[in-house]
Amino acid sequence: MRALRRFFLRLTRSATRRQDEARLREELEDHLALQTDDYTRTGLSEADARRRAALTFGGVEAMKEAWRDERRLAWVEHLLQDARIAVRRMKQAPGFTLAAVATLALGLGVGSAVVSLANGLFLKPLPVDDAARLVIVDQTIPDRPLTNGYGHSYPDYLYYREHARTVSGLAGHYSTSPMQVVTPDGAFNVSGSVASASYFSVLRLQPALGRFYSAAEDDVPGAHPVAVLSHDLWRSGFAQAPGAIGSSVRINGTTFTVVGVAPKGFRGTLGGVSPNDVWIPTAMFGVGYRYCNALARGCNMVNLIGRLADGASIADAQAEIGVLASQLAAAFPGTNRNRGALVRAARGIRIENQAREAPIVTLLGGGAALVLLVASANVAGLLLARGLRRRKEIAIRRALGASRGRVVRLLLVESIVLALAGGAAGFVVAIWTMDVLRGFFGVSYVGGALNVDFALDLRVVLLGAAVAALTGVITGVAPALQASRSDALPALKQETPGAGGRRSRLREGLIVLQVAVSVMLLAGSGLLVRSFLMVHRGPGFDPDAVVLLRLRPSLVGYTNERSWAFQHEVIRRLEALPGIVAASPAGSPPLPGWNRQADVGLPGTTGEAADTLTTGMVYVGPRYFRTLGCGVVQGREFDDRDSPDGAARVAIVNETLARRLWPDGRAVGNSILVSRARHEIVGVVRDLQYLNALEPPQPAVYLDFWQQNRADNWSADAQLHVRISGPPATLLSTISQTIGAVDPDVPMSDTRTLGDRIDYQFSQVRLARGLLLGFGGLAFGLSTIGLYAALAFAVGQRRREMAIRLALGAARSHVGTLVFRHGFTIVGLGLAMGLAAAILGAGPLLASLLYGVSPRDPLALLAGPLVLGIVAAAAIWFPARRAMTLDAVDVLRSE
Amino acid sequence: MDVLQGTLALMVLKTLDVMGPLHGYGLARRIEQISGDRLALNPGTLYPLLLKLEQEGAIASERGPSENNRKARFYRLTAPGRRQLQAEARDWQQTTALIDRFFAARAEDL
Repeated sequence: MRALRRFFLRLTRSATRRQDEARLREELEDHLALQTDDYTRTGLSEADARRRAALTFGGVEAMKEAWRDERRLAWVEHLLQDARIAVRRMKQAPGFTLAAVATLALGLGVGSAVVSLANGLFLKPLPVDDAARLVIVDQTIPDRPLTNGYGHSYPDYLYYREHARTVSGLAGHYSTSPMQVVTPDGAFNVSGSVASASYFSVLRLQPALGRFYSAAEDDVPGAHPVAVLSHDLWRSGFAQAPGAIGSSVRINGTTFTVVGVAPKGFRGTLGGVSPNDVWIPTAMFGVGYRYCNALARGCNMVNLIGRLADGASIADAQAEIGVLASQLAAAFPGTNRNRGALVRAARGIRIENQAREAPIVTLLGGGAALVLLVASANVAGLLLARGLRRRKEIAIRRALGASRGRVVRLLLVESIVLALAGGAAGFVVAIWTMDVLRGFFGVSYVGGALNVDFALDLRVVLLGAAVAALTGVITGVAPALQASRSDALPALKQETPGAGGRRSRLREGLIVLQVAVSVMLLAGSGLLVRSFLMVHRGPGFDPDAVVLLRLRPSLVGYTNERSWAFQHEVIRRLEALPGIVAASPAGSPPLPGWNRQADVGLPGTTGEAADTLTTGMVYVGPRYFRTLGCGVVQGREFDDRDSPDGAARVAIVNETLARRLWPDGRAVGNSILVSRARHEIVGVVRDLQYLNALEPPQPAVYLDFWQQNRADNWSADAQLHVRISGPPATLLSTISQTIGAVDPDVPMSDTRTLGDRIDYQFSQVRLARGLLLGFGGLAFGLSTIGLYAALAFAVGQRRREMAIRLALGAARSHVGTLVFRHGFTIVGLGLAMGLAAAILGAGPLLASLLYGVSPRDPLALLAGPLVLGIVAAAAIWFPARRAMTLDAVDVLRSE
Repeated sequence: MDVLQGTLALMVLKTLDVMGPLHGYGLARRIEQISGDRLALNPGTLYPLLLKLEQEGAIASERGPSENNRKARFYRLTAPGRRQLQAEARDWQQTTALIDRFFAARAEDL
């Protein structure tokens, strides 16, 4: 305790650096005066008394030193002293400081941005009270990945809520429900949540206005149409009027009473999806979810979030809820056989999205780490060169008695101060970089903001500062050791150290490292550039001339019959418009990952798994391929001849499927079984899929949109494809007006050109390409500058040696060759190492982002390094020229 | 004779305990006196020690008039200082008693 108290007293005195020595002086004077008094009393004269007193007193300076040591902490004092020297030196060499700080700011800033991104995606807790105790319970299904976040059925949720003791509250919700909300201020197409009454209490939310609905209102199905609005929707839909409470809104065609407004900033518990604007009770599930009866067992739509009971851990909850799940599995084998439950902490965005983003964030993190490595190597090179220039200063320090450790500490403090300054400037870079990243990770495919928060928080800032300090140590340690080793005598005599030696080898090693890393990054970005070009060329049609839009008449209670009539009318009116070439409905857009699957076989076979092929299957309307602008290879595409009620079901196959089924014959005219139903093939079309480099083209079958089973719930809504000739911007509004004229209530969303959708679908490739190009460019620039500086410096150091060579009759070209050979050895080593690393690493790291490009594509791999080689040659040329134009006599005279 | 490391603090505390508040010079004189002039106190040792003890809270100080109308800083024992003195005095006695037994020991006693 005592020691601690003293420590803090001394620490504050060190830190405030109060030079308050008045008290000591006072004590000394008192002491002397009193002693003098004593001596005068023994009979000495005044002057003699004072002299004797001073003599007995002893050395004042040593005493002051001891006093100072007691007052404060010496090492803190020395550290601050070193830091002050460091800052002074930084000011003395503004060019060096700017270069080093800017280099480190880039390296550290990019890293901070990626950490902040990962923090937002994977780690941040929900913005509610005591969020660390919130857990999510997912259903587990055998042979399906745990990262799919499967929901539970409503009765299962009730069972867990009834019996789980390790959670103090459990809420069920379905939070990706599209809701068409009609308020006095207009219609809003928002994302809503069907949530149990316990949702609000588990999250410890307080309404901003009104109240949340009660358990009694969440009991009898359909009995209490009450809704809670988000603060944002209250503002836009009710102009923030308090009268909103108690008023009526229509949600997906059902009238609800608004009972409350959620707190400002709360946008639901599901991150990485569209933020929630409306909450309705689970008893009203039918309004928010239409594809199965959400209150029945087997319809697994309910996501669970709960709060751990006091004293319970996640492991406790897992143990208990796991037992409850096995009880359910035993009691309801028809729906729950082998199903389990997984309890995890509620942090980051939705688990499926986390799994999807993890590889690209890893890639970005790796890229950022490499940039930091290059930046550090670059700064270490700068520090090494500076250490050489400071040999004299360091020699003087050593000669005056500074130990080697003290000198190393001084130099290390300098590099740490430099790195901390770089880290601070890096946060500005991080904020810029974050703006770019937010455009990819924080935005949905139609451009809406997602429910995710990437703001820098304290954890990121602290980590950034720690990494900066560590970077300072790592970049500084070798240069400091080198500089402090110098022999005092030759340094003071201003002798130039000879060429070669360990010092320059270390510098050259750093350059090789930088060149290698730049090559890796550039080769990787080369692959991604090629991949992105392939994606845009891949479909073989102009995606910017195709407008996609999603019509969802089922949301406003259309029957399938009525919905089909509506869609026919919309297409008829659209095709009559000038500027519109063709319009056609389809079950899904022509993008990877959207296809449904079907089993395709030849007639006469059993239709069992052994005799069928699993293919992609899409329902498309008449003139679909004309709409896409994609040629039919054989036969024809669907047209108005193919009546919905006709006996003959028709199909179109792609080339891959045609080749698979009839390797050497015509496909058109034959019949196939699609999901055991007989279809006649009327046409063959080109393969329309985007291909991952590592996957062969997939077989696909197209069925007539109007011949699909009308009872199928999915058939009521369609992705409408419209081919336009003219600028999309003007035609988009004409299209929505035309559709609005048919029925203004039908929600229309996701209106974008196919080109935009492709861009979004491949945004990961685009992002990776952009950032790797950026990172590679950065590393490339830094390493080129580093190379130039190192060679220029080496030439400067070898001026005398070269002058002697010239004086002894060496040809000027020979001296130039020396420099060239030196430079190209460094660059060549770096290129070779970087290319080897790129070839080994690109396959596993980038495979999932490469479309139509092999990870060993020579053009893509070599383009970047080639450019680097050319620029490097220029960087070598200037120092070499300087060596060749040396005036031998001048040099020898001046040294 | 030099002061054994750590024992000067104990002497300062004990002197302040017995004599009441003293200024630095007076304290030095008293300690020398009590030691029968076998100790010569260096001010360079004393004042830093006083500062340390004050930072630890064992003593407190304030300026006041000295006997011959000079101003001086007077040090006094605080309550924690008194407790510290008692504890350290006990430790010291135990240590010396122990050491005495060793010096008194002869081979035949063991």
